[in-house]
Amino acid sequence: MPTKPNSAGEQQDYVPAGNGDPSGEYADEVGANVHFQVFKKPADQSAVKGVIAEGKAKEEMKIKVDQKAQAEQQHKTFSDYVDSNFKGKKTELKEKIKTDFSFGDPDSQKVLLDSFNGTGTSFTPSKKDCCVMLGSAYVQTQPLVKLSSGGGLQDNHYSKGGVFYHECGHAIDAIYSQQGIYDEKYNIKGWVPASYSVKLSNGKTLAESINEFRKDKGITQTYALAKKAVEDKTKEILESNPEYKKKKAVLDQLREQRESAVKKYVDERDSLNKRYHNNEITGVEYWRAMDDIDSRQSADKTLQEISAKINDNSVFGIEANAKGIIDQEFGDISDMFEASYGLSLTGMGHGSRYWGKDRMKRGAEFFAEYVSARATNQASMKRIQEYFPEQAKQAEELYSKIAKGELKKWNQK
Amino acid sequence: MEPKIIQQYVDIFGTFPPLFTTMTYEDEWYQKKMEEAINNGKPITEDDLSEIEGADLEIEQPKSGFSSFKQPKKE
Repeated sequence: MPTKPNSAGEQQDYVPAGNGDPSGEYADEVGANVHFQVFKKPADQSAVKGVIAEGKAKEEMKIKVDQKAQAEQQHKTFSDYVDSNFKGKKTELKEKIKTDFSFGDPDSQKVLLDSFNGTGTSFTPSKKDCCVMLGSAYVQTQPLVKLSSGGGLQDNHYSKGGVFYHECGHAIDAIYSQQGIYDEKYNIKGWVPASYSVKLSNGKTLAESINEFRKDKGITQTYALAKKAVEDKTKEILESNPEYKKKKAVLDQLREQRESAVKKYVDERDSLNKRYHNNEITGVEYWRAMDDIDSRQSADKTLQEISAKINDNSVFGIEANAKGIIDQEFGDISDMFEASYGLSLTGMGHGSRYWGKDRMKRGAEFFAEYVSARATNQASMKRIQEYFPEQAKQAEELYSKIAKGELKKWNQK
Repeated sequence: MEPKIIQQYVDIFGTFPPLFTTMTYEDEWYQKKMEEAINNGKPITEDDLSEIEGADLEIEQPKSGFSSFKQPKKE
């Protein structure tokens, strides 16, 4: 059965509808079947598929008319906008969206509401935060902002409202899409995000500037400087805490002891893996031996004693606090470096696989991070301007064009 | 709520594992990966997560059949 990657990168079964039209179903990240359909011109459908298709086409038209009426609604406050454009039953998420919006500075709040107004861009609950840009040559539908309820340890790594403004940054990018070349190889035209289509004062799009920076020889030095800034700041935060300094010396010794104590089990596992790959043992023998190693390691008294001492000297709270501060300040540029240099700065990013050969995503992510930092995170903004000065200027120029109403929305053209 | 395994991981390695967009330290699969790393004494690297795609942006691609679509010529 063919599969389709979900947003977590896992392959899920793809089930074509089987009726000849390019639609089908796939399981979303919470396991529900999601039906998708490529919109077609109603006239084409009625001509080809007769009365049934005509009825269906009329139904689709009605939905589109409703969507259009909803899209044309203007809301004076973001709260009203969310009330009209939230699709789902999770009222607590709806309230969270309003709270996240309030974390943005007044300029960003205005740009977001002005951009969304009249487009019907909607919000929907999701397990993962994501923005879906939907586009085709015939019909341009509204961006869909999928948001999770958040919570948990990962929240420490983002500014308040940062993830919300990031996803809305993607939506704004889509709202100001222009008709352009979607795929250069096959000359496919479509609606493409503003970051990929709007030419700025340097004659390039934001995406073109980001992609050119990847070839810049100076990027290695820029990355090294940023990496050092992360290390220095981490050290400064941690070492300003007397408790950390005291326990760290003990912990370093304990970590070395643990490494030595674990080594014999690691060697046994490596040897077992080699034997299995050389077909010296069967799969059943492999797992039996592996379970035995695991059991002996779990029961190892020396390891247990070292682990207990490590736990007694834990500085997790202090390190987690430092990591949160670092990620909030450097997280955006960490992802920017991953996109343009291939290595993240702090371990935060989209993962190298995400970028692939797609040239559109690099500009889109840069813009979303810029929108988020501008709205909620001045420390991150300073880092973006420090390490990506030219690209930051171009992102600001694009943002400014949107804020001043110099660009038209896709449904105003 | 902080999972205990992340504390063990940081206590042992003195560093946090990578955190890609759309992933969380609470994810069950990631907690298993941290447990394996602890048992093997080797911290998780970004390369270890090369199969993960933190797609927080999905661009629905235009489908074939557009008037502007031109198939590549056969060589």
